[in-house]
Amino acid sequence: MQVVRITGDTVTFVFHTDEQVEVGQQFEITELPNKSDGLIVQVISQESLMVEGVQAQIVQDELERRFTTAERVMDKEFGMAELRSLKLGTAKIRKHVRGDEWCAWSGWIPGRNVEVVPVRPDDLLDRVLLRPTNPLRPFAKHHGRTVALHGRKLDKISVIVGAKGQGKSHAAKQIVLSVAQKRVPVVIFDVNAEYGSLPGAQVLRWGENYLPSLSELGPGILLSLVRSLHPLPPGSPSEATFDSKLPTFFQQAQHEGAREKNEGVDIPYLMAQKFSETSAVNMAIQARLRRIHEMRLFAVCGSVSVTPNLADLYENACAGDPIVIDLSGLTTGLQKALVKAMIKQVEYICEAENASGQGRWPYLFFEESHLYLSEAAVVDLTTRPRHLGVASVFVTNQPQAISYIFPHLDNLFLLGLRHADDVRVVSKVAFADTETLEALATRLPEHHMMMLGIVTNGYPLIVSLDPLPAEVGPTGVTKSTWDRFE
Amino acid sequence: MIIVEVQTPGSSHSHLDALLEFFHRLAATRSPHTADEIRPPGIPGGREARLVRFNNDDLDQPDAEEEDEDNDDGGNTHHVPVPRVRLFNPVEKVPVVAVDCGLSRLGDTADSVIASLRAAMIIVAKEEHHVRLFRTGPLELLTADKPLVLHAMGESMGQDDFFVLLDRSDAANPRVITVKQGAANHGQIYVDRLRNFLEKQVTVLAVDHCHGGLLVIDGSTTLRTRDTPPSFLPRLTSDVHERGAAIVGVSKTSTLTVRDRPIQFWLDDVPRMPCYRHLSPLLSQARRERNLGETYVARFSALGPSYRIDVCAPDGVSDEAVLNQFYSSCVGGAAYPPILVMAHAMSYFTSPDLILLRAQAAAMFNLRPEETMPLSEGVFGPFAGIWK
Repeated sequence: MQVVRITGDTVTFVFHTDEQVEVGQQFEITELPNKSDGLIVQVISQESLMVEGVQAQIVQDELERRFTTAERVMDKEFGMAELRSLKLGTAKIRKHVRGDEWCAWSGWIPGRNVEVVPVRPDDLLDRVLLRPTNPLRPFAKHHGRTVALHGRKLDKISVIVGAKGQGKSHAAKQIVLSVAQKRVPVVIFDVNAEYGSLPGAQVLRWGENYLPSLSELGPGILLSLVRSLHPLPPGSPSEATFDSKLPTFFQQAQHEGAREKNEGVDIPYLMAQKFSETSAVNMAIQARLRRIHEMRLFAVCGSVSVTPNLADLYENACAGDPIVIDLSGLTTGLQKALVKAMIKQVEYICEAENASGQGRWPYLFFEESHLYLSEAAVVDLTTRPRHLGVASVFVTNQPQAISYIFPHLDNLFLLGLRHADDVRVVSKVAFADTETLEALATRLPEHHMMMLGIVTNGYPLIVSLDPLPAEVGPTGVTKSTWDRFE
Repeated sequence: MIIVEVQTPGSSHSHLDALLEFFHRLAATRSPHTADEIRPPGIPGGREARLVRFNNDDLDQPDAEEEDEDNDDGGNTHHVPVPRVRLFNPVEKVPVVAVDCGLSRLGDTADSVIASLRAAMIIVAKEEHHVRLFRTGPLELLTADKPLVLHAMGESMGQDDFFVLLDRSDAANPRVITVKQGAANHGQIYVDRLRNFLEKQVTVLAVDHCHGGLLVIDGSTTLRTRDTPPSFLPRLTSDVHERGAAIVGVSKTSTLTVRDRPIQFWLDDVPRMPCYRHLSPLLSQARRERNLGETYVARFSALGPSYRIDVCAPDGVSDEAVLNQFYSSCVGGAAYPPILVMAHAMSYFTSPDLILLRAQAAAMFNLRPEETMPLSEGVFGPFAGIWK
């Protein structure tokens, strides 16, 4: 391998196909003869080597092959194909090596008299990840070496992004398992019913095994449901009355005193209230409440409840059993309403954790959040949680739909992307250069992921994902009518 | 010592073997010194080879070593009327063979020149093209071996003392005294002698493929040149004629002037028309004797340039018939015979080829290439190079 040119933070080099050079691999370029300074570079792309006349040579060879039969009576030109075995590689400067220390690069480059050697994977991991003292359960390898991540550095805002079928859910499940193993509570908003097979998963299916109490969730969810499913005419007296009176009835119920088990507000209670002196308004509101009641989404006071208490669920999550909110069977309107309500509940829980001093703040995993979370809600999640203690992980194959997140990320887990627009969005992250992301996003091998951010101390690390534990079900299995023919 | 059998007619196989053996021995030649002995002080490992930039286009320049074509005053032919122009007539195609040889000078050491040769024999018969390639790979031509090599080359081409002075006191074993002045004064001439040698030897091999057809030579059929013994061409022509074939020489850069007019202008009276004119009647006797065959000027396409053409036809075949065969079989309206273009293309070294051969030479001969900055791009770069 020979360095051809260093321009800015980009190194161009020539190498033979016999040399093992992979995209994502690290090399150390040491200046000779002193060997006291060097650079750590990471390969981001490879291309064909074009030299003056090679096109003429190719044309000549092709003509020789196509238009004649050629007999080489005497041929003592050995290795003439070797030029075609040379390739051009592009690498990015990552570190400046001073003696034995890896420092941030500040612009120094070596002369042309250099020695180039591959960086050992062990060495790279030690220097990049700095051997965490309390590592998470490992779920990936770098050239066969276990990658140990520091839990604290996986905090706050992360995105797992990749095209369909590249392994996003696989990666997300691995992270869930690693975090949960540390008894950090995890709440997953599962839009594809993929996370129910996780060990200890507490799967909530609204309207099936989860009928929350309206008292617990508050008036907000009911307002959201009416707006999205059966909206009152906008600007009408009905709408104004419903918006203003509903919270009042919730407070009223709280003040009314003792009731039976699962006491509090329920739909029948609200239907019994008089929202307005105007019968038409009452009838409109009653009709909406009746429809929602018929959907059997909420617990009825006095009935035998099969729904676990959210506080109990959270306690179990703190013991390592993640809460999985299965959104797959819900319409978009229901998804939005439920997620909004649940996030509110999470906030209440965090305040309680703060007050108690236990500090058991959760990790929230959002699969394809653009389907059920507004931009404002997501932005809210990326700002307020720093004070609440919540960490959020967004899993998506449509980065353009949540493009506003990328400038605020703490960690990026990138699997293969194909679409140029998606790559462009992802490259907006603050801690990586555009060239690296654009080059690596389209060149990641199967089952490989690039980790970048605080978790890798800013170093783009290419890792291979470990298989999920045997007890975890397959990821991303979709039903097809053609299955019966196979 | 390099030994090459003198080729005999009809023994092309032995001739090929001899040719292959010659270059095998040449490639196997090693310096009498070991790499350690000639290593310059202070430089670790290997000898140094300075790469001399060599422009392959220089090969297409008129051979400066040919005896000057110069102006032919015509002797006592001034009364001879200018032959009329004749047009080409299409005739049945015949087999055509052409040979070309290219040279790349890869570098110099203190005591050798490193070069590589490529020769191509193009055979066109019945619409099919067949190519025979001869590629020597890097050759280290030691200065110390020059007399022996030149002796062997001359002997192979029919005159053992063409390039060297010999002591024939022992007739059975003539001893090489020295290289003749002008035979290979410096490296460039030396390697070009080798190039010419390979081209001539491949031309001998080509004879077997031109039965009843044409052997096309890139250049004139001048007998007296500094790179080929005068007996070579007549013997070659005899072999060709024995096979019912003719020799056609095409000179694209001839400097011959006839009656004070360069040959390229001898068809100006018939513009924009493929045609030819016989010029030998206008040449002096001395000039005619120096050439094998008859000299013509020809234009192959309506807008193409004019070239010197030499024709050596076998007995019973007219030059006109040969020229028509040539035009029909391997010109086809092109400005320059495509078979010669192909021969050149197959014997040409592209830039990547030079890079690889230089690398191969460094590996084979334990050399360390050292670049020299060409003056035309360095010191004289701001002043339009070294050209004035």
